[in-house]
Amino acid sequence: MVQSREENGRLIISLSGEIDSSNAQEVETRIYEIRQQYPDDSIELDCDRLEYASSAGLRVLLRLIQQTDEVILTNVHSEMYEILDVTGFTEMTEVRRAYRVISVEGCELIGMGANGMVYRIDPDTIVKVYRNPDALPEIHRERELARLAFIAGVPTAIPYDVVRIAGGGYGTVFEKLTARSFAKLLAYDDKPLDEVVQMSIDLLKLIHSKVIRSDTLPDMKAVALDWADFLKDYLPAELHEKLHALIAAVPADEHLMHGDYHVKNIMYQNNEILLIDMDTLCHGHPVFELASIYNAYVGFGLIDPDCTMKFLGLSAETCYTFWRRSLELYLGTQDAAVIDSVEEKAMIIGLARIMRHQIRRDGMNREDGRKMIETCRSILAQLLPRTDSLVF
Amino acid sequence: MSNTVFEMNGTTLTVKPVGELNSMTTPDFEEELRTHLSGVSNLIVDFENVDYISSAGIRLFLGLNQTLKNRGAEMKLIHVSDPIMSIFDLIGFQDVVTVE
Amino acid sequence: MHSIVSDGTDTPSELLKHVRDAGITLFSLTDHDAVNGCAMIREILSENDPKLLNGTEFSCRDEHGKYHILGYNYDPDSKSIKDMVEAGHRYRMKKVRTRLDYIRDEYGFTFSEQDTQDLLAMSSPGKPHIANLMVRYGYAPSKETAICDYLNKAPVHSEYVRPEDAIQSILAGNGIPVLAHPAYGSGDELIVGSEMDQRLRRLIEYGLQGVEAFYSTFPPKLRKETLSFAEKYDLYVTAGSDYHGKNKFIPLGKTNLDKAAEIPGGMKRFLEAVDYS
Repeated sequence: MVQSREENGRLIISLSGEIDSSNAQEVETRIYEIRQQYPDDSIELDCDRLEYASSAGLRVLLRLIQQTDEVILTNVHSEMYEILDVTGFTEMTEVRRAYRVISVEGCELIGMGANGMVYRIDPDTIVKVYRNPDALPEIHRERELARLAFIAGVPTAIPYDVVRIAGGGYGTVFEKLTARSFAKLLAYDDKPLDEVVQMSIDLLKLIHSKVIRSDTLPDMKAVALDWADFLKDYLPAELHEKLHALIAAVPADEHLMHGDYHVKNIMYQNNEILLIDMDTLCHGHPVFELASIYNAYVGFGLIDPDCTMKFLGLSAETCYTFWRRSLELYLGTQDAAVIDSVEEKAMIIGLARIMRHQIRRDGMNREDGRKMIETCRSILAQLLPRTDSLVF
Repeated sequence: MSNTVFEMNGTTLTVKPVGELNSMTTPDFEEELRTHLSGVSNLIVDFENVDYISSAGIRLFLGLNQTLKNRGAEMKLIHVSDPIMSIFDLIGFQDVVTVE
Repeated sequence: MHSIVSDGTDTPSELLKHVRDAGITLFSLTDHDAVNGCAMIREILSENDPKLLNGTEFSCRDEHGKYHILGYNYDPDSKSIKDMVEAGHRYRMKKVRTRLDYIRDEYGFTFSEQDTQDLLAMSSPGKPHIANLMVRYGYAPSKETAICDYLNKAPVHSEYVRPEDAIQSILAGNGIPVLAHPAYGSGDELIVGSEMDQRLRRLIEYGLQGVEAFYSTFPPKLRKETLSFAEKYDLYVTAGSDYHGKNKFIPLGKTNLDKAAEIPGGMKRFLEAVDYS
């Protein structure tokens, strides 16, 4: 009925079966005996095998919650959760539902990414399974970001629940979209480039109009300042100082950004455009978004013209046109001088990021890496001195 | 969605969509609904005959809720089935939209 | 904390000893609808003793529900406080008599003349005292059963102190009105979210100045919620154990204040308001 174990220094008491007036006293006594052995007054109550608690059982839980510094109920199954919800327990302390367990055996594998695999589990849903068995916090973070964005009206697939995968690991279930990426629309000439750019910028503006207040949303300015700091040892002092000062001078901005906005992450479905991959969501001034867009279409291809073909399935020329047209539409002008100046601002942040990325991936010890780092450094050396502000 | 029932009572519009609100059916439903919206101060969407809702359908209601709120009108969803309610619970829909 | 003057089990002098032993430096005795325990402690207080804040706890009720309202640092000679204590006592005695009548008529539970007299002579008798007698006479196996299965069934339609009157009398006596254990209502309810918000707004309109956000049996979630309301409405923050001696299993001085990362601004302002540094 009552068992205990310790995990990472935390006391876990697991309850099983039914707790009612016939055994409530015994359960309570047993729990207090266990607690006496642990000075740290924080308990996880594992309810995975708890089937039912009558009012006498609930009183035991209530007293425990009221007399202990912190009690968290975990692995609570639906029926028990309902009881705890209507009786107010969920208001008093953290009550975590049990993860639904699903099997992906025999399911169609429809995608593979850096973090894991995507399976179709039924006609309406897919599951994104993470390779790393310890990814649970990251899964919850990404799912929460997607949920916040969805509720704020950003068009994206419904992020359903986090599930446990039979055989190991965790994943998030999403609504299945019958959509094609913008990259595919362009590659197969299904739509004219101008129309695709227009749709992508309309959606981008929609994202940038949203404000989501959440601790889970990173501030892009702080992230960019970290990039600048990292480059301290790799840039001449005056360039590094200028870079740092320019980023530091960008005003704080609460507006939402996607963070990895390119044609492979924008989907088209029945005249509707949708976003996928919400794990990069953040907030900040739009110049940071433009910097990441610049990198996807132009920056990463600077020394390797095949890069965009490998990554997006599009030629370097198409990507460059896409980028310039995006700037025109985003800024609402065809004035080349204005567009050039914003492009330079985006390049400064974008190339600082690529330079750091290359160095961290041991680029100094590779021929192509050294070439890329040198290219970034020389462009930054040209741009930084003549730039007064990253804001537009 | 051709079976959708619209009922105007004073400035209260009750609408009863039928079947699935997915990316195929939602655009037509939205178009039809919008033609009924002028002068509505209270929109009631009766979910009794809705079997399934996709992101397209949910987004429609998120958008409508905002539009109506902006002009001082209200919207609520009623008779939501348990499976659809559990989707609403999962995404925290009720934090934004009134569901009874 | 409560003494034998209301429903605690420590006499005022025992309480003072326990407070000294626990190393507490500032304390308040908040007997239900009573103030004389404070006067008794003040008489035996010596110079190096912990600082005592005059306190009391009024049980109140209106159309919206029940409340326990604490009064701190009032002027003990104030007429308004004395009147309120008297009114509270009167209503309380009426309730006790109703309950005694009910268990006699309904279940045939009677007590000796002496025990009944002793009960009625207490300055703040309540359900726990009757329950103790019932257990002693073998009418109920435990205090909890006595209260839940018998005493709570008594139809008590007696008069109550209204929260606005309690708050006004505390203010008139130069005291600070504070809502006790806000998330538990009058004790065993659960009031959170918009319900707590509405309650607080009403009480603030009447003149409420603080909330007891640190309370012995508040889990962290309720503590945080109460603190956020204190911040929202710029209220004083207080800490209370609700120690009742042997009548409740709460250690003296357990308020969970030690769990706070830092002393909230509302509590610092409260301490300044009562001249404690």
